[in-house]
Amino acid sequence: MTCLVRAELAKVMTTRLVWGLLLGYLGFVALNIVIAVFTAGTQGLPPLDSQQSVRGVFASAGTGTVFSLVLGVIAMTGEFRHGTASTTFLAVPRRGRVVAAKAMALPVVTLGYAAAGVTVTAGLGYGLLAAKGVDAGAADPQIQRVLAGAMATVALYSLLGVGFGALIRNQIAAVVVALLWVMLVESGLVAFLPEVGRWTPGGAASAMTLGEPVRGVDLLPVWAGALLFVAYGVALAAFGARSTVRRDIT
Amino acid sequence: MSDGVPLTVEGVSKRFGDVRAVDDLSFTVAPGRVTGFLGPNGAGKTTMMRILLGLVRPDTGTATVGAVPYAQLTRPLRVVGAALEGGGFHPGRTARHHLAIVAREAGMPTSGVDALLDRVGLTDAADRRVGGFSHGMRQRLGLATALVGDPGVVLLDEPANGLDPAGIAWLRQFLRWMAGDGRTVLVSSHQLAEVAQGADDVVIIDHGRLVRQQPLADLLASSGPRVQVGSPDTDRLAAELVSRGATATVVGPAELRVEGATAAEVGEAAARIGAVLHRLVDDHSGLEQAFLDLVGPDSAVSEPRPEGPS
Repeated sequence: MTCLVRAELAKVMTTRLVWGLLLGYLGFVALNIVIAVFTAGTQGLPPLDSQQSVRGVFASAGTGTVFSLVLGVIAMTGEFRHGTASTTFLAVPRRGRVVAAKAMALPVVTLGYAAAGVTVTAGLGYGLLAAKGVDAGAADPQIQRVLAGAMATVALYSLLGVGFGALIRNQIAAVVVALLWVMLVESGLVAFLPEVGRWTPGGAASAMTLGEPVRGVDLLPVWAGALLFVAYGVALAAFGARSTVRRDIT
Repeated sequence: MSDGVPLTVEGVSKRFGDVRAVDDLSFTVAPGRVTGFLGPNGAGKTTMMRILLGLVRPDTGTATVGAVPYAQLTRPLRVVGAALEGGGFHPGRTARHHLAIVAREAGMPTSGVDALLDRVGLTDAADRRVGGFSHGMRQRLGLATALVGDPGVVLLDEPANGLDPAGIAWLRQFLRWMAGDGRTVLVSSHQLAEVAQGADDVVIIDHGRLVRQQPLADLLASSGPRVQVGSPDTDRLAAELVSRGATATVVGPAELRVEGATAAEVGEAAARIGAVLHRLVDDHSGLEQAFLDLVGPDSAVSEPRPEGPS
């Protein structure tokens, strides 16, 4: 299995996509930080030295999880799109092992994304806040926990992506479905039906990043959110491995 | 290298929707020989190879590698190597990375990659992205991929497609070298001339069914002598040849095709009746003709390969 995980790591790291998505993710994070810093205190938003604003700045590391998600989807569906599935399944006829190896390898890669994102967030966040005369640590003592949560979500979203990819072989369809789910269905549920939304992968991810209660409904505890999120990813991947991935490779 | 083991296909059928891609097909492939897997486009060759490799599940029947279904091999790439059409390469990856990844998946050291690249003549292109490769280079990379685990069985799907004449000559040598080491070599092709000089055995299929399995030499012998004749006296000459037991067909003005008589016999017949000969040529398209006879000219016409399985 170690060999397979290393092979999957090599697959991801030997294409340009991984770097393109990393740049996209970091740009997105930086943009969010800048927006959070410069809109604070305007249009009725809380002032920059409030806990809410400071937390918003540092939670930026956890935005752009879609880049992690998309990397996972493409890593899985790319096998079918480029026909590399033939090569892969010749080496590993037990296809479930390939999905399992991807499910383990992709979070390792996106943990790298997360580390870069947290580094950018910490640097830019502390820098901009200091330049604005705000003592970040005093405003929000939980910055490190927020950053740790962000790191975990960004790392784990690629697992969910592998799950979507294992379930839907067509790459474009898989990317579209995953994005629609995350950006529309799930965020809608979290915002308008929080009793349901907190049980979705997105709700679980919010719990990991110490999100605020929505409409008086508390999110899950951090540990439960993390467990639930991983369970979603593993369940999707396992289900895909037993259904879609087993189909004929023609 | 692992030992070459026989491939055995028994009663395999596979349908895709309404298409019977493989229809109750049975044949065996022996180690130490190059076996040509022949048939027109769409005959079911690719599907059958993919069934042998566990990529496609047959509806009925079994396909085994040394009596074991592919999916149950513990270290499959050390037993079987395959190069499939299209190659299965990520266009953004370099040849070297591609082979290193396959080696990791096979549990082989990646240190063998350089030797493989050298073996197929891709050393200079090792660090270029496969997306920019020519057809011939892809075929070579496919061969290298098949050899990653140093297997005793090699399956190649249309390896000559896109190769220039020098490349085809190189491929034939390559096949001979592999079989010479005792490997089981199964090579599919819809073009026959390229196989004629390279194969020991042939398995011919059409519409998913077995048409013939035999040594190539037997197939050539069974097709009998053929002669092309140019003569203004076609009708008289044809009648004389037919009376001698040969088959003569007028195929054009002053053009005869004769089967069942050698050039010498045709010459004698012409001399006997005083017919004028302009041209007398032994027809060496034996395999091509034998193939057309077996599968019929209609299905042997190369049609564009339909999307999906063939």
